[in-house]
Amino acid sequence: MLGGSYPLDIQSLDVAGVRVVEVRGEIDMSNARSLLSTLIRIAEQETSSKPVLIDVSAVQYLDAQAVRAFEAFAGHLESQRRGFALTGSSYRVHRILGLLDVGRIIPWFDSRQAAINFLTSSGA
Amino acid sequence: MDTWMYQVSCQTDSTTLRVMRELAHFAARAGGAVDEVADDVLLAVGEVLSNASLHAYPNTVGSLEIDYRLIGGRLYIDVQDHGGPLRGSIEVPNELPPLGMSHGLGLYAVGQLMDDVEVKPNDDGDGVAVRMSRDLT
Repeated sequence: MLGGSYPLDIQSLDVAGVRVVEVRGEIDMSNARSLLSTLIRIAEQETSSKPVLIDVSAVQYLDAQAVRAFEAFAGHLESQRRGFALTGSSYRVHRILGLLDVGRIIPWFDSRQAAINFLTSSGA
Repeated sequence: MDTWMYQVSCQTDSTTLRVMRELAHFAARAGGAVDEVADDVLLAVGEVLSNASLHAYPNTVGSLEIDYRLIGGRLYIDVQDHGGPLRGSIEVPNELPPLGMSHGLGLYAVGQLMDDVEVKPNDDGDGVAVRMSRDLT
């Protein structure tokens, strides 16, 4: 696609031993690849094997291309035996993640705290 | 019940496609849909536009026509590209494509979000038409 990509605001912070990546904006085919590159770069900056939580609470739209990017990122982290989860609660995001059964590849929680609890438990 | 129609011609650049999917939400709301149903229409149109851009116009920008018709509380949406004749047929998957499949995820979602979907050659035979509808009542 030409015409530029829709800008995403991506912030990374450490919360209770989890690398939390907050994404704001809309994720579609114009920016899903660059999102994946950014996520991998953030993950590789870690010297430890900290689990990663992507918080899409401030994402207004995402599509199948975004799900592909999350799937690829999950595979990247799995090869490093690092935990990974998603959190977010808008209707549009819930709807598409649910329809595409993202939970079959990525644990997915309504609240950030529930996701952090999962990732910091022994099972993550 | 209201009956109306309008047609939009647009390009497949990323900014325009973002506007077009929001327009789909607006059309559904104007047709009487509650917000969640309008969101479903937006998500479906977003996937169709994404597929048109990816498959009809890879690495370039092309043209699309989008028709909206409201008849008897049902919204009919027709998206046509001109990216080349349809080769073979495209079936809308009824089941979620398995992990690792490179195609079909978006079209599967469209099939779940809308009441009916079909992918056919466009009216001029030089591209693909996606025809779908959703009851808004």
